[in-house]
Amino acid sequence: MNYILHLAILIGIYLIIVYAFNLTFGFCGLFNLSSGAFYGFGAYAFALLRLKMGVDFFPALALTMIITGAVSVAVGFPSLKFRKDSFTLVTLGLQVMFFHAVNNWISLTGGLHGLPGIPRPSFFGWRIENPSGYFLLVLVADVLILSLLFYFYRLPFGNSLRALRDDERGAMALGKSPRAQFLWAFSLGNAAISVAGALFASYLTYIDPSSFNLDESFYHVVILSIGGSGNRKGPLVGLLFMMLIPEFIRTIGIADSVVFNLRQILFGTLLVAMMILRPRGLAGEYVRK
Amino acid sequence: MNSELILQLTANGLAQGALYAVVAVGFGLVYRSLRFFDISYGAYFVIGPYILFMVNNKIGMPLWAGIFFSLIGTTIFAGVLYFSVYSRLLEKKTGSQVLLVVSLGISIIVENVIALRFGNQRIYLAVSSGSSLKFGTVSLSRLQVVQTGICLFILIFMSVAIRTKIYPKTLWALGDDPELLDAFGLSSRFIGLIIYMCAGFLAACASALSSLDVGMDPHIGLPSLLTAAVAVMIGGADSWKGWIFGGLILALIQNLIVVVISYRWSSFVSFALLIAILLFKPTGLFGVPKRVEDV
Repeated sequence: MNYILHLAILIGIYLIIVYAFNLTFGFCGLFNLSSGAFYGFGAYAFALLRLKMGVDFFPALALTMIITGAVSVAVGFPSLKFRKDSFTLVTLGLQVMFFHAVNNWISLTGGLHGLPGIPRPSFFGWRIENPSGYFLLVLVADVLILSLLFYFYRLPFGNSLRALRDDERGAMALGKSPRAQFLWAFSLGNAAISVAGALFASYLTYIDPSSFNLDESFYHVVILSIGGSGNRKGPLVGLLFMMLIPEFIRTIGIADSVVFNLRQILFGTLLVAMMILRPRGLAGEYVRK
Repeated sequence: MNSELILQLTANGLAQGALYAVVAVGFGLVYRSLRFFDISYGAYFVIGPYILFMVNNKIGMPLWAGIFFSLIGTTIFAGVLYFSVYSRLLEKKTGSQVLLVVSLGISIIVENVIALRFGNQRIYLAVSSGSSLKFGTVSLSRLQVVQTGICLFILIFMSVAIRTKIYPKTLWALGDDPELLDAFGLSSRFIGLIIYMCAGFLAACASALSSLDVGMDPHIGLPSLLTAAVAVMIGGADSWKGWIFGGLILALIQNLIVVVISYRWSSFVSFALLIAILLFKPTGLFGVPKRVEDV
């Protein structure tokens, strides 16, 4: 039972990531490889606020979102000058720089040893200790953040992002500024991803750089590539697919030492097959009638 | 700071730079001609050394045979990969983002198949780097000198070929207008195959040479790919000279960084430099901005 709850909590955390990442990757059509860095940034900012400054859970969560949003604006403003491969490379650079910064800035982040002992969430006299409590917390966070993100998807904002993605010059002619709109999407998405990072940090009570490397960003890309992006169904389909297949492999009794490699080989094969057969993903966008 | 140390670091940087330049040229060939960011280029850096290891250590053949089969095997792998996957996708005019994801999938498959077969640990080949050679106050190992010599030979050979032969020029044409190339009776598919095999061969040369020194592990592909991509972008994706100097500059910075700050920050600085160059000179150090009428 605890294991199922653990899996549900992880799915809940990743739901926030993939739906937030969908804003830049799916709606803006920007091949962003920095989502792992902002996930890590949120986790580290939250952990440091809790550990070193003794900030309470909710204020720390709010501050994490604000700081990540501000950093995203600062980083996104120059980065969003680029499109296509150049944008991919800049975000790849941000991801690698973030990883090396947390890995090497030992006095602040603990380097490879990470940050242990992140306090468990406690508010209004209630301290969350067990998985069911965490599950409730993640569920509430999911409902709040996903509702907000779906609201953004539906607003003219979501449509203007898609319009800019499909025909930037045309959308600009209608008064949409790609820089401003994409910057909003990038910052809002990253602020939401930072909440996932904070929840992850407080759930595990320990973080280290290995959870936030380039592979993590690739994982987010793979989820949206397999599931589909730019809509509401795709990320969920991709996430469930990617989270539940390893569980299936585990149940057929393969030795633990090879499960990871086999899982990766399977993902790689699926990715190649999907991109050849259905490049828009299992639940990609359809032509609007 | 001691000037002898700086001289030594510069020499190490130049030796490493020759290797980086070869790696960058391989990546640049594919990136410039097929116009997509090929992550599976990193896979050749995994396949090559492991073929060398198999032939040399498992089968017991001499080192030169190991290197020979490593070059052949990786080149064939690159050709098969192009022929079976990329050429089909390129013919369907698949977008560069989809190609990038496909190449990511291939790279994941190769890395994990090798890890499954050989384990995740680093493997070293029983090769001595030889006694060091003194050049004034600078000393380089024999292996470093041999590596640099081979890399320089490859770079000079390719630079001459690209200036004088017609085929290398078609790779530029392929990047600019593949359909026009077909209209002139040259097969863009065949040229793509040659470019891919060439990239595989260059990656195999660089990876075989570096594995003699630092060994191999299944996860070496991504760092090698990143080195190549950063070098190409620093130098300029549209400039052959830029790829070579991009590799040299990158290696020099990574070696000389220890004068100012710990070596551990070298990747951080490399990517910061990449972002700075993309921001202030998007065409790269050796790239020239094109007028619309030139495209």
